[in-house]
Amino acid sequence: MDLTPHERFPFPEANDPGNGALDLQILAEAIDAKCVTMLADLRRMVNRPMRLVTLNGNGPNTIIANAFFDMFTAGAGQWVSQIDTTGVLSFDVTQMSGMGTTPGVYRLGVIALTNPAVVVTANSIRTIRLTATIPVSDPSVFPAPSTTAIKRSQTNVYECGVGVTDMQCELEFATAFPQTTVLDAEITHANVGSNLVLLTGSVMYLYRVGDVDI
Amino acid sequence: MTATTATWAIPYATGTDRLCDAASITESMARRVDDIMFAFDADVTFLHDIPAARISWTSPSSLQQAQTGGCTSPIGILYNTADYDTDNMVNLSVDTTIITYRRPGYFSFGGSNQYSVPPLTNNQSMNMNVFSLVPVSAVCGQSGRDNGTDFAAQSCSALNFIAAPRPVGSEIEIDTELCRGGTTGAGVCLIVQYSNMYAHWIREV
Repeated sequence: MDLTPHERFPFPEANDPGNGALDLQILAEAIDAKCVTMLADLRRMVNRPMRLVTLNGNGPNTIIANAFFDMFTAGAGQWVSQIDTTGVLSFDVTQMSGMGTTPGVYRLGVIALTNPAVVVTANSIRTIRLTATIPVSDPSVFPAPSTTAIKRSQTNVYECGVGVTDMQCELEFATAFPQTTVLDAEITHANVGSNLVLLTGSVMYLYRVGDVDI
Repeated sequence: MTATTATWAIPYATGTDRLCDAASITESMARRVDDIMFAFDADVTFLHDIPAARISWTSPSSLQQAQTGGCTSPIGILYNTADYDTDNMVNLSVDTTIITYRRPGYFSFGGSNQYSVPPLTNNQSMNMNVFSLVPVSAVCGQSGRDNGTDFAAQSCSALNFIAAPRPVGSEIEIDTELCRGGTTGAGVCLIVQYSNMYAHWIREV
């Protein structure tokens, strides 16, 4: 029995005892196994994990001025999952669970609709900050390394006196350790007249761009 | 006489083949399927190795760049770090301002910046554009407003494509520019930590 050069498929040599049916069976089984792994690879690469949640109902009146506040907490109880292909249903898209262990590039995005709860502070700033805290070396090695890389994107707007503003922010980043990468989506504002409310229709999403070698 | 399948030309035995030729026919079949699967492996690798790059300004302190005047002469950001680059899309030693597309196809691109243009002037507009050059132009941009005390921070993303392979040195590029609206004039643009630009390949044209 000999093997093909690339995929190592078995085939009979001239001096092998003649058993055509068995030779074909062995070859067929090897091809079958190759097809299974190849299709699994294709499906994994095409069907990239993604997660999208929307805020169906206004969040609680808890976002105080001049302090960064977690956006998932700011909409507590009101987030609804619209897309989640990970098999790990999570309303907090900053959780990387279900995204797999393979190194890759990811994109985190937020569309935030906001309004002061009571008093509008004229010309006050509102800011979204997205952060990825990424281990720079294997966190499973003992002792655990403490060095991380911080990747950020940020958007700010000034409200024009009517109160309601919307803003969008995206962060694209690469990580070699998805399961130990920490993501944050935060919001802050300078509307000192009253707390800020995250409004219904706000969106958060996270998806894997690709299994690229980093 | 040995026959072959219609699409992939895989050889197989027919009723007129000699029994003693079974081994060689099986070998021919195995080698042909091997070639086909090896080509499929290349396709899988093509999908796996997605061109993607991200460049950023990473210093914790401010970067200062001279601005010659408002939106009529915006400045390009000088990036100093390649966060990742899977297809030789970045060469900061040659050009610190661009990402270059090398594989034909559709791309998603974008960026985010935090910056100011002193003197801080109330209600002055501050604009960020991430744009691609020929052959296919695409721009994403956002405007912020200065209230005299804060930095502008903006994030945007969009799609574009290149239709055909292009020789090294003349590929499509994406670039980032910042400018100040309203009064034009010389000044210093301050760019702080959050400055990055990225692009990744999505699919073939």
